[in-house]
This record gives sequence, structure tokens and C-alpha cells, in this order.
Amino acid sequence: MGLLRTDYAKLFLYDPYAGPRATWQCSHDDRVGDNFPQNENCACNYNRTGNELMGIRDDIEELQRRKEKTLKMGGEQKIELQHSRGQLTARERIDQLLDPDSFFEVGALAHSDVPGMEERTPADGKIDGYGTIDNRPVAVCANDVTVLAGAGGRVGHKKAAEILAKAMEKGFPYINLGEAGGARIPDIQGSDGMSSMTIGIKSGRRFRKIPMVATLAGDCFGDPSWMAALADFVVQIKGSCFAVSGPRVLEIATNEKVSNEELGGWKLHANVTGQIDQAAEDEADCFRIVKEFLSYMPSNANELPPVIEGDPGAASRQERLLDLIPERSNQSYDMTLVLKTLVDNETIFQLKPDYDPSVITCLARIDGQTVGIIANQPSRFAGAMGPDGCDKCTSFICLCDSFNIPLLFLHDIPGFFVGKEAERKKMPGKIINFIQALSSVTVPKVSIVIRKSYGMANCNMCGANMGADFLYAWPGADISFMGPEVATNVVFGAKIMAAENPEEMRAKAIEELKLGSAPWRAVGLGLIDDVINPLATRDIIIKSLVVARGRNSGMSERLLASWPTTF
Amino acid sequence: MKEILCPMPGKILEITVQLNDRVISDTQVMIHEAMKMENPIVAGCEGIVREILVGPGDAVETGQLLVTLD
Repeated sequence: MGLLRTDYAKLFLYDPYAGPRATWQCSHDDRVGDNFPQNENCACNYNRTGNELMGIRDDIEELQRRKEKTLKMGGEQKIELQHSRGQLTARERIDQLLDPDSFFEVGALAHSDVPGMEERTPADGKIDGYGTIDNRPVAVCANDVTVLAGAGGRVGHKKAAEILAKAMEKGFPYINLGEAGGARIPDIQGSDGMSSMTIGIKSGRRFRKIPMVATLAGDCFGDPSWMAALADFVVQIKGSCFAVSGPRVLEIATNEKVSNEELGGWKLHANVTGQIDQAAEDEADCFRIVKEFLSYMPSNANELPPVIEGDPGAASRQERLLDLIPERSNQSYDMTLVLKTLVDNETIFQLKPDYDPSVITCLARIDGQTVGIIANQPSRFAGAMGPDGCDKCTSFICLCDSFNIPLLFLHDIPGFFVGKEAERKKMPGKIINFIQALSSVTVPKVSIVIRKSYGMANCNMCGANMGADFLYAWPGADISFMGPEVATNVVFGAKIMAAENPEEMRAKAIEELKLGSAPWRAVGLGLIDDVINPLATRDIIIKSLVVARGRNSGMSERLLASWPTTF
Repeated sequence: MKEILCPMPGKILEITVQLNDRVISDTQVMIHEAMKMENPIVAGCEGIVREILVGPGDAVETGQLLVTLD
């Protein structure tokens, strides 16, 4: 369109809220002066007959016309296409997510700053605003895929950055409803485009001030993927693709031929990368998950999580705990059943459930208050976490510590799952990352050894001298450097083989080591706080948390707030 | 044809299904030992056991084919 550089400068000065008296001039006057024909496609004041300004009633009508137009998004055809794929439009998504009639939009009249694109870019492809979820304020930004495939333009980019900044300033959770194929060309093309559309220094400076949620629907490349990687909580809808660039770009760039599902499908992220926290069956499921997550969270880092009524029925089901743990210590069981017995309303909300499932990280409530639980899961991979499990715990610790959520550790771990695969994924580094995060936690911590807790894993699960406000063990706990069977071979291997009756001697050695790993010696020396009756566990957690919250009510010093969200 | 793959390195202790048995999702097909823990290996879906490719005492690797189902 041949705009001069000075014209671009004027475009950026344009204030859409200054009303009809704004003195901004578009490029028309350079070329056609007063004889310029009526052009409905132009957003400037020259749309009007000559230069006359109309009366207020006509202005309101004009406002109404523009608002109605923006509500139609990219037009009927594009909306139908979106529906035919079984997907909702951005506006429908916002309506489903927020409390009824609570959406308060900003920037509805924005449009592209590329001359000639004004009418084709309602809201410039990003629908932003505020509203409530369960009567608590939130900020939301939705990519509108009906507008130029959701690709982000300069004005939309600025709108999104502003609403995120506002949410951080005012202290509301921010939800990014992602579906977009990256940045818009030509907006980001060229040295001027690229330099005016960098992600911006502020986006990396979140400091976990507010809970940030990202959802992923359809194709998500570029912007929605960055937002997901920055977020505290990510939900990917099954069938969508979450990646840096799409298969079409890849084929041109590297000749790699790959399907959306292989490249960035939910299974990849749920099982292998851990970059999503939950996978949703469909959009309704996705919004239900987001609401449930937010119900556990404070609105911002300066608040405690909301407290609701406790669970009066919890006491009567504690008896179950006696039957959930098998007698033989090498048999597995489902730790989620133990957790559900201990927490309110038998409800746990898992984050990254399929990403190294040998460890469970979940939010739950105990006596109405949010807690974050890290518990080993003996029924998956022997309950022995590997490098991914360490990453999962580190990320969860950062989340809880940054949002004033106390941590509860439940040990039943036979050690880390070591081996060739783990070492290739930097196992020592992952274990120590986890330790470094744990060392900086300043929310209340309660740690309970349910059954096994061996070696370095005992340290990571917040064992003795690891900063727990209270460390307990069940009477059957087994705490040591390694399991008695393995230790016997290491220590007495040669002696046993040389003995007359090796089997008998081996059994005797194992028995001796087993006695030593019972919790009595540690509690006797004051290394752990107490050995507790399993039936009293819930009650003791409640009492311990009251003490651990102390004078600052459990507010965190937030030393982990700037830890990266993805690593 | 559906396959049950070994989730982690270790040793097979016991096979708990027989050829032509019908299994459903979460039916235990064998017990695997790693980290001195007995880990049940379960079917991921419904099917009929067509082949059992390992036996008690066998050392197994991640991703190794254990059982095929129809």
C-alpha cells in the first residue's frame, strides 16, 4: 500500500478511544484531499461526509454498527468451518469459560494497522477482557481463528501484552485460550515488523505473580505455544497440536514429513515432554479442568488460596488405610486410594498424571484448605521416579511455593529408577535441581514416610534435615540407604558365599538390616518428629499445618517465583 | 493385533494369563520385578492372548514385546 515510515508513526499514535474528534489523519489526505471518495473500509474520520462530524446519536449508531461487526468475527463462513471441525469460536469459548454474562471486553474495536486490512481483522484476531469464574475476577485472551487463521498481528499482539500486564498489576488469574498458527505475515515480516513484534522483555518476567493458565485447541504454533510454555497450568484438548511450527513449515524448512499428532499431539506432551498438565476430551472438559484448577489457587501471590468448608465425613473413612497397604513390602498398591482417604471429599486434582506416573503431584484440600501433595506411586514403575519425575516435582514445588500452598510429602519409594536411560537424561542434575527447589521452599511442609524411603530419594522426598516443619513415619516405615536385600549382597556378599550355609546366613543378614531400617532408631534419636498411627494421619496433618503456618499464616517468601516454567 | 510392551527394565517373575485367555483393560498379564518391587504388567485394552513372548526369570528391557493380543 506504499505507506511512508512517517505514516506508520502516526498509526501508532492513533488512539481508538479518543472519539470522533481525534485529529489523527490517515494516508488518504496525502493522496486525494477533499475529493477522496467514501471508503467504508477506512477506520479514519474521513469515512464521514466531507469533514463534518455528526451528532452524538449518529455517533452512537456508528459505534453500535462497529460493535456488531466485531462480534461477527471473521464472518459466517469461517465460523461454520470452525463449527464443522467440532470446535467453538473464541467468543463461544469465553462464554463457556466465564460465569454467565460476566464478560467485559476491551479492545473490541481494534483492527489491523496494515492499510486495507481494517475490515478483515475484527478485534485484530484477539478477543480480550475480564470476567469472573465462580465469582472471582479473571482476565482472558482468546485467539480468534476465524480472523486470518488466528495469526497474530501487531495490534492484537499489543492488546494481549497489555491485558496480561494489567492482570499482573491488578492481581487476577490470566487465561490464554490458544488456537493460532503463529504471527501474521506481513505484520511481523521485515526489520520493522520483527522489531515491533518481539515477544517483549516483560513476558519473561512473570515471577508467578498471578496464576497463568493456557489452553490449547486446534493448531497451536508460535504464540499459543509460547504462552503455554510460560503458563503455570496447561490443558491440551485431544486432537490439537502444540508445537513451535506446523508440519507445512517443517516440510519446507527441513523436509521433515510429520503428522500433527506426532509433532505435538496430547500423548506426546502428556507422556513424554510433560509440557501439559492435563489433556481434555473436548472443549467443555477443558473449561471444567481450568475452573477446577483455579478453585485451588489464590487470585494472586499476595493472597492465600481460598478456604472452603471441610469434610466432616473424612474421619469415618480413615479405617480404610489399614487395608490399603499390602503386608509384603515388595507388593505394589495404588497410592491414589491412600490420598483420597486422607483428603477432603476424596478428591485429588493431579497435574501431569501420565508424565512419569511413578510420582503423583496433585492439589487437594485438607480441612477446607488447599495443599499440594507429592506422593510416590508404587503401582507405576515400582514407585521409583526417574529424571522426568524429578522435573515434575521441581515444577510442582515452584507452583505451590509461589502461590502459598503448603506441601505434603508421602514417601513410598525404593530409590530413584537409575540406569542407562536415566543417566542420558541427566539424572544427577535432575535430582539436584529438585533438591535446590526443595531447599528454597518457604511454605509449610509436612513429610510422612508411609512405607519405603531409601537413599537419595529419601532426601528428595523431604526426609530428615531437609526442611520439613514436621517429619513423621508410620510404624511399618522402612528407612535406609538401600533395601535390605541389595545391602546384604553389597556388605556380606563374599562372606555369605564362603559360609557353610549361605542361604541361612543371607536370611539372617537381611533380617538384621530390616530391624535397623524400622523407624524406631531414628525417632529414638530425635531425627524424625514422631511415629504416628496411620489412622491419625489426617488429624496430625491438620494440626501440623496450623503450627507450620505460624505467624505469617503460611505466606511464602517466594524464592522460587522466578524459576523457569519449563526446563 | 495389539501389543503389550515392557514399561521398564527388570525381570519377569510370573505369567498370570494363558494363551487364548480373554483380557480386558487393566487385567494383570504378568508380574515383573524391578527395584526389588513386584510390578504388575496389565493389558491396556480388551483382547485375546495370542502370543506370550517371555517366561519367568527372563530379563527384559523397556519397550520389549511381552504379549500380543487379538
